[in-house]
This record gives sequence, C-alpha cells and structure tokens, in this order.
Amino acid sequence: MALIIKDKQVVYVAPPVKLTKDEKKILENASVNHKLVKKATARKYKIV
Amino acid sequence: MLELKKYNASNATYRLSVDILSKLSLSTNLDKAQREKLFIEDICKRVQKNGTVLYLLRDGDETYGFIALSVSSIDTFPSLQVDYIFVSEPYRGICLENLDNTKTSTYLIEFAIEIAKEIQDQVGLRYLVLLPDNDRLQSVYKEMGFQVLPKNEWMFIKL
Repeated sequence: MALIIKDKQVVYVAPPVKLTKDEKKILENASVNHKLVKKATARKYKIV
Repeated sequence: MLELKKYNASNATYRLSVDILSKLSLSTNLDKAQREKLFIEDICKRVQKNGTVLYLLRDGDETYGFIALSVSSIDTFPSLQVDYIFVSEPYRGICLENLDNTKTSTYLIEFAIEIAKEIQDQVGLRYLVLLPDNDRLQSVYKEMGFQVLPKNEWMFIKL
C-alpha cells in the first residue's frame, strides 16, 4: 500500500527515489521466487 | 463466475467510490472503517485521474475485495506498485475454495504478479513493491514472499 493518513488527510507515499548502497544491494541480490511467480502466472484470471 | 472487474479512467464514473463502497464491507471497528473509507475514496479519485487501476474481485453477487496498481520506480528500478489492497470484512483471513483455497489478499497479490510479468514482457520491470500499513501486515506480506528494505519499510518481490 502506498497511502497513509496524516493530520486526518490521506497522503500518497511514493517509493524512495534514492536508496543507500546497502539497500540497492538488497534489491539487486534478491532472488526471484520462481515458485511463487509460476503459481501466480499459471492461473487464468478473468478480467472484465 | 470469478472475475476481476477493471476500473480505470475510461470507465470510472464520478460515483465510483459510492459504487465500490456499496459492494464492500468495511471493518466493524469504527475508527478502522473510517480510515478504510478515506483510503477507498482517495483511490477512486486516483482511478478517475488515471493514476491507478483498480481490480475488483467478485464471484456473482459476492465481492471479496480489490487491488489498485500503478507503475512506479524504486530508486531507478521500474516497478509495479500496489497502491492499495482491500479485503471485505467477512472474507478476511479465510481461504476460499473458488480462489484455489487461498486467501483473498494472497490471490490479489498473485494477480498483481501476473500483471507485473505481463508488463515486464512488454516494457521491462524489476519489482513489485508496496508499503505495508503496519507491522502485522509486514509479517503477512513476508509470508507471501515479499522482502523488506530495512530503513524505509518498503517491501518488494523481485520479478
């Protein structure tokens, strides 16, 4: 989710535009969860 | 029949939030319900302005919840962002047979992965990202396969 409530107002929060080196490393070194992706993409979704 | 009704700027009416709210059950806790109502109204405004696309999950007369998605980036990495995910109160925490025995939230996230993979094939995309509303949700998303960026609490699935 990317919404928070601040001073009783909904505020949209965007992902960080600048990550630290360590955070970038976490992102880059993460592995793809092939099992999850396969499960998600094997299903037929009916969009109307 | 199980389907995802897509709402974007081309079919969203000015009454969208009223229509969506009429199909869903908010929390029984009044404070939580008020918060959810504000979020849903805000998301519907974003749909009308082409800022997000909302997919309402329903089966016949039963509406389970929705997910709102937009394209974003984390640092310089193109990503699909979960703007909001909502599960109607009676369906929270339960696995449904017609959703392949998964919870509504899991089904919606897996649907987002499917959309992300489709986009990835067309234009390139690295991550599915979201910002959990609270610590409890962070644990839920971890169970689903999300990893957390420690300092800023954004979570991601690498695609």
